[in-house]
Amino acid sequence: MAGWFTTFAAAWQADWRERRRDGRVALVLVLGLALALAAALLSARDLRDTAHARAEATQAEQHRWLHQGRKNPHSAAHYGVYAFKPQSALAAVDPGVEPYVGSSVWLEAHKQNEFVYRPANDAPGTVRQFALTPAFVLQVLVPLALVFLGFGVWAGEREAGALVQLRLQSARLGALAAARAAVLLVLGLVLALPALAAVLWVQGQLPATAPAFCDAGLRWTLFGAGYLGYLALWCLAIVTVSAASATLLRSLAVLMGLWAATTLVLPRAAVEWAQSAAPLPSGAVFRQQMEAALGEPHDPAEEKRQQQALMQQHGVSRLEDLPVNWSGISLQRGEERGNAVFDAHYGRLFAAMRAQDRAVAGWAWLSPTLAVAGLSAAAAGSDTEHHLQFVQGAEAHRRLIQRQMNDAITATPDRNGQRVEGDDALWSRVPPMRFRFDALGPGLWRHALPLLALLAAMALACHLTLRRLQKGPLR
Amino acid sequence: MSRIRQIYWLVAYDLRGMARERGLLALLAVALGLALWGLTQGAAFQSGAASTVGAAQAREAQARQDAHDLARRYFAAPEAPEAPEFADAKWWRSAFDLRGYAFYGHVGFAAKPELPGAALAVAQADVLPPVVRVRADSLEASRSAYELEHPARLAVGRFDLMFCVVYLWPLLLLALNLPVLSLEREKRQLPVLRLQGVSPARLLLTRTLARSGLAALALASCVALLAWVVGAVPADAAGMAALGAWALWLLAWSLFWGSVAAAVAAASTGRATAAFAGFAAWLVLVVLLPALLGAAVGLAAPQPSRESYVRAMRDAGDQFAQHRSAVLARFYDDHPQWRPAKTSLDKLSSSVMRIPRMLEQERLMAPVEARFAEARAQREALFARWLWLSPASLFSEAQARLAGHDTARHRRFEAELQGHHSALRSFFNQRIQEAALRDEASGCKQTCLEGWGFTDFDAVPRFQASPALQQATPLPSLALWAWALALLALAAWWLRERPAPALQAAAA
Repeated sequence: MAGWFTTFAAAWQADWRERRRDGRVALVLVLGLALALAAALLSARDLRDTAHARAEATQAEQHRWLHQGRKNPHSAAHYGVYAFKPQSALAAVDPGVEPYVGSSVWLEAHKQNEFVYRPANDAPGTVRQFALTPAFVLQVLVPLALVFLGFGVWAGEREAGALVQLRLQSARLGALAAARAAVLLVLGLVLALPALAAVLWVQGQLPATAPAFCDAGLRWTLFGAGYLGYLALWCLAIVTVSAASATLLRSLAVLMGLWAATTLVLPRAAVEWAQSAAPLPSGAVFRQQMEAALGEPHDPAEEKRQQQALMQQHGVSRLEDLPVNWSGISLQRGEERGNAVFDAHYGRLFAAMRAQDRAVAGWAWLSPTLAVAGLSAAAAGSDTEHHLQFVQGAEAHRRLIQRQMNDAITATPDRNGQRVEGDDALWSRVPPMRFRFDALGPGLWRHALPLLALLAAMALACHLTLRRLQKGPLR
Repeated sequence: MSRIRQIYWLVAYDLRGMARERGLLALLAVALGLALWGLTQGAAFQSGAASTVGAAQAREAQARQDAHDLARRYFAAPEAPEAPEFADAKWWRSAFDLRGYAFYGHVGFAAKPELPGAALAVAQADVLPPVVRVRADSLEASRSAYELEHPARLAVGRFDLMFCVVYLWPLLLLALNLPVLSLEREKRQLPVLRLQGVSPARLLLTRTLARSGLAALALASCVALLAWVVGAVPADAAGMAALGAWALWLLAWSLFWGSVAAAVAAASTGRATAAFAGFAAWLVLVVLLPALLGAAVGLAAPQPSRESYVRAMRDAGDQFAQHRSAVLARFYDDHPQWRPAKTSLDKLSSSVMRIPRMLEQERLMAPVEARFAEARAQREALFARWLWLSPASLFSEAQARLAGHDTARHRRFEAELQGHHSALRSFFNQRIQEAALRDEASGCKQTCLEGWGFTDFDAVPRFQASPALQQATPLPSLALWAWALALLALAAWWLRERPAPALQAAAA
């Protein structure tokens, strides 16, 4: 074993020395670092500005709600509040779906409004396939840089005929390969440094009111481990392909094909497949059906029955004599009926979106990029699941406001048609929306498991290829 | 003449050699297969969009017809609505009541007309909706409406023909063209060819241009054939013109990549170096330059935050609530013919002051809107000005414009939408104010023709796209040709005949 480590250390030193002298390595690293730095700076600056703007807007909304003056509680319910989606520091590395989902929603009476103002809609031009973010650098560009740096780790020796000498000397090819893969991994991690710096900088810049994850430690660990595993997987793949290729050109061609298939083609094919596996309704149909369901007349007979029961309970014969206000009860009935419609329609929509997520995750067994992208966005709280959590959190807050306002109306008996009015005391009964994302659940394994399995499979493939290199035919 | 013959034989010999390379042919077949699959995806997307637009238009027509029928039944006996359907009628649920129709019952849509080349590129069409509902009160709801899409699908991007041609096609062209000169170099055949009068520059340029041009021809033919078979492009003159324009852009794009490969092959000493440099060029040209262009434009002309927009909108609402009486007084000073005769302004119903309130909020929001519009216009102008710097962005923009799925066309649609919304709102505002006056005078207990009753559904303005919106705005391809020529010149300069050092010294 000691011999293995001695060989590893010597090979590491030799490879490291060679790479330090190689101008092409310096070129790739300098360009890669410049890009990673630019991506990290842009993304971090953007997230900091957005987080501050949302924190200020949330405070302004809270102030606006608390100081709206005297008015009927139902008018206050219509006045409502805007909720702004919070973002975590990790989203500076992986913005996920953030540019493609609305940033705010108006919480008002009777309606579950849709989120509005998607950043993507304000972007100029038509090129949006590869936005320059640290996640894009880590998931797509760093593997490409590793391919450029590593396609010749074995193929070069093989092409130059140096493999014969290694075998004659009974060199430990496993230790050599491990050292070369480790050097590659270190070079890849150097390119990941700007992303790490961006996260730390944003974390220090976030407003104090920004929400924290309840499982922040786990998320940071998963985030780091996911990318470490992903880059390690690429290093193993590069060493394996290079060892299995007879020429430099073949090694480069196979690795480029692998890179193009796993990072460019499969992620897009996966989302197209997911849409056919669990299609979403068209917006027009969805909204029309929901409007139709909301517009269906109340059940007047049921309303009469409830009124009768209430009057019987309180021993009165007229609604005006009730110790409670029927208007508040009626408004709440309307809300609950609307809530059932929203739950049914949005429930189906969100279920289809989650089914698409599962369908895409199935493709992660073929593409580690899909696996790490899913894991990274989940840890950063910037995937669809976290967005849906916020949508549901905002809706729960809307319902809380409606209930508070309707309860206030119900608690004020209708005397001589006098209008019910609320004031600051009532408005302050509605707590500010304090949203926290759920802890990461078992859904995480949908991404982690394929990544781990692919890593293990690649390690095995690497081992077998090296054994063949050691003992198999030379050509 | 002999030079032309020489070029002919170079091309013919090269193609014969290529036909024996099974690997390259397999790669070409894969690329063509992916492109054709991309086309079917684009066609399926466009078919879905067309169904959505068709359904919206059908719904609009049906809603108008239903409103007609309902009003006919109701006004047949308005004083004695014995029919159970009118027993518990509420104005906000009744299309025969102007208030109910204007704010709830009216169903109107504005749709972007479909262009013949729509299936050739999805581009921004999944982010910018093809049809939006237009309501009398708020334009903002129409402007911020989206089609339902899984956000992850939007983030990853579509696998359409445009994706294949912009990102994958160059990889194939590089694989086809990069070995052109390096193989002869490695086999030391260049001096022999020189002796036969074939310069390396001519060999390189002839082969790369021929290979790229023929590959483009193969792709264009396959796409045209499939488009015709599956009906992705209409089989008429407009469809042929769209396909022709697309094929010309494809040729320019392919020759551009041929010239990139020529420049790389000219400067590289071996196949591995050429492959390394070629893929680095691909990365720079299709990934980095577009991303940097977008980032630079964003930095140079930042968009104000949408959070500030929401705050301004809320402030405008609060301001109206505070100064409601003064605002309404000003409104009726401007329109004395609509001033209520009996009702005081602070007792006006919400439906009567709904549109004046919107007008006031728009007036208050005008500076904010102008700031956003200015920033957006500045970004888009900067993007258009520097587009030539990024060939991939230029090509993508051209594809999007051919399909009618570009941002600039959507902005024109939004401008027309705004004009239509103003007309619709003016129509309802006038009718509502006049109906309020009639209602004051008649004192009908329920909706009546002398009050809030409404039957003139056919007079309600409908959206009609302008002729300009019904055609694509072509983008000149000059910059792409210039890029290609510059790269070819660079390759030729690199391979120019240089006198031996001894002769140089003698000349000096």
